Amino acid sequence: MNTIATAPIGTTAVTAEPTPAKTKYRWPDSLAWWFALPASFLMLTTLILPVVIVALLSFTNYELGMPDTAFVGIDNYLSVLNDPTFWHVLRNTLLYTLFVVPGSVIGGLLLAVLVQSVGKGRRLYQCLFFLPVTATLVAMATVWKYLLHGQIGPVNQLLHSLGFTPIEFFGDPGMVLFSLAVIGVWQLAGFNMVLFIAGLVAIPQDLYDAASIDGADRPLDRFFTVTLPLLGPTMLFVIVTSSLTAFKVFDTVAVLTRGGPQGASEVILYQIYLEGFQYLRTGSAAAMTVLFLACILVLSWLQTRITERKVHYL
Amino acid sequence: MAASVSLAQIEKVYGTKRTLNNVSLDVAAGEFLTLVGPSGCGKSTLLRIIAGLTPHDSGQVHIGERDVTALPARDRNVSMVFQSYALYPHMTVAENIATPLRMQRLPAMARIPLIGRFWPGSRKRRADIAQDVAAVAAQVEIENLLHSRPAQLSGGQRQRVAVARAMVKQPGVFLMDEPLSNLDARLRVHMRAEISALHQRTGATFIYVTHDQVEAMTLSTRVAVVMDGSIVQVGTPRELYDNPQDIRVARFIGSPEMNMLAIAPDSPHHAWLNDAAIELPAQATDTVHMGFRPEHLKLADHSTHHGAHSLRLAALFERMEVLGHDALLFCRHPDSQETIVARAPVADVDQLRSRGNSGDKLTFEMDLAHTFWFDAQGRRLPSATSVCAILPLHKRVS
Repeated sequence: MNTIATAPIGTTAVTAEPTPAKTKYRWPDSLAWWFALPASFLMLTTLILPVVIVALLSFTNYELGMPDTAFVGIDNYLSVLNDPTFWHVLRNTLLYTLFVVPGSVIGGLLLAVLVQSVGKGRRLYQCLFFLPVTATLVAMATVWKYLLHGQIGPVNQLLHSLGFTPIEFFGDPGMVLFSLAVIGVWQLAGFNMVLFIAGLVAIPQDLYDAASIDGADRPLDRFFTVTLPLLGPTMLFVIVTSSLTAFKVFDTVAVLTRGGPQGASEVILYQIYLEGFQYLRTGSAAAMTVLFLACILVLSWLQTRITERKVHYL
Repeated sequence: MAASVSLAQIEKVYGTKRTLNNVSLDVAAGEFLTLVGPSGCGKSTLLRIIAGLTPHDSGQVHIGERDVTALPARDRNVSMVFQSYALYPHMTVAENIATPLRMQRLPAMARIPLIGRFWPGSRKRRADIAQDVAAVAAQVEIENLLHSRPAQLSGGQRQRVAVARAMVKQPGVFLMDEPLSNLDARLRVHMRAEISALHQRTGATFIYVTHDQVEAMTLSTRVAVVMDGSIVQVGTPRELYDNPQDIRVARFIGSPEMNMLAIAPDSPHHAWLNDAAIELPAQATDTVHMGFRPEHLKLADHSTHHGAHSLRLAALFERMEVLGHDALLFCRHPDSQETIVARAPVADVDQLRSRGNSGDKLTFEMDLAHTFWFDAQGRRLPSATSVCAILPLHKRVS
């Protein structure tokens, strides 16, 4: 058999016999399936199967440890969608995302452009700004908790010494999402910076030369004429990954605020965690997870769809 | 508006390597000057210094009457066409061409994307710019491409866009950095003619960098040969070909390159070459080089005697390349094994070979007036025509 390796799964292949050219659908050879087996197995067990199980669970009233489970149809979805808490946490999550994405994208871009223009010690700056990515957020959260503490936090001490009234960063329901977002930006900006630096390095020097000749050699003109447009593909990727990361915020909420004060910092993932692991209502948690997955899918699909045509020039 | 360009004692050092060594050059307004040389000789660096893209270590650059040494590229009244064309990939052709004008005519606030559109007074200026862009596009015949992106264009079309972007500023000096080297052979010949026509039409000063001596010879009013960071010789294409002042120029200009035979003199004025005594053009104690072009070598006709001013040269034949009307004969010098290339009409080759000048050993004949002599350092020795002659038999020594 000489067509084994050349016939990909699901395509038609011409048989080797000298019969008149008649393409017939033909399953790939069994050997092809064997080659694809390890990867397929891993994909199935680690990605597809869990999603399918969660989706199935979301149609039951399964509770962790309960012996009998019944199929309840779309009841879980109805109760989740009718529950004002769900809409509340969705709103909080979106709000948090709206703070974090522009902050971390613009911050990362700024850092990248600045660090790239540094002559000596560029590596050091890169490492420093990348540090939050590698640091354990739970541990770092304690530092932030101290920094932003209502009474003893250095930030408030500074505000106090400047004559401002201290701000309850984690105690004020109007402030708490913003404070969490600052931590989110701090953590993401370094990662985005690294991605942007990779994009910056790929911009041909010739274009900057052409811009200089054309008169676009002041920093702002260079940025808008060459740098920003040519970072388009990187920008798309960074925005999508940042939105997904922001949408999945959990650890800072769990460690710092536990959703408080007065539920002002409850986010989707934290709510799912509460439902599934605190109240042990697995079915309901599964329904929320499916909705959450749907949100993320729609979000990334939309972003790619909208921006794709405008960023790929080549 | 064509501007003259004048370089005075330009030096450029990269790390420990001296890229440009005391380069001075004057380019008259309206001239087409080509900087030609092998890759890595510093010609592109020199062009970038004129453009203001690369800072130099010492020396002055004048464009027109102004000393522009300290001015940035945008204030130098120059345009440049890059080897890669360097078109902005995210802009349409029209936007690409408009960029220099936008930078010149729109205030900084009006250039900011999206919101700049609403800056008062910018509408009228934008309309003017669009008009100028259309006019330039018509000149290089790309009106129908104005709304395409560079990625959708062929190499030749991109080249035209790059030229249009350079033209739209109406600069005093056009700088071109190997603009044809990314094109295929046929298109290159075509664009060569267009660039020449562009020079005629605009009357601007052109400074053109290439490593291709054919481009240099066909396009330029003058050629500057750059070697190892210095300008070795500047002159019209004819001058460089007929009267090279340096062995490197002699070798670089002309295709196939000039033949060179190293000759060791046995007394300050004499040497032996193929059993013929030659009088050297100048007193020499060291090796001298005798150069002669392939087209000046003739297959010797054994039935006649050679004249007093011609020299017969034996060579071992290796192979022949037929170019059509002419053929190149690749040979070796029987003693020194140096390559000798001769260019001769195919008909002559056949005819003379049939008369006995055949086999592995060929005899060539050349007029001594067509030889070039260089000393051991590669400097040209005074013309050979008058001094160098084969001694009459009775004056021969030993």
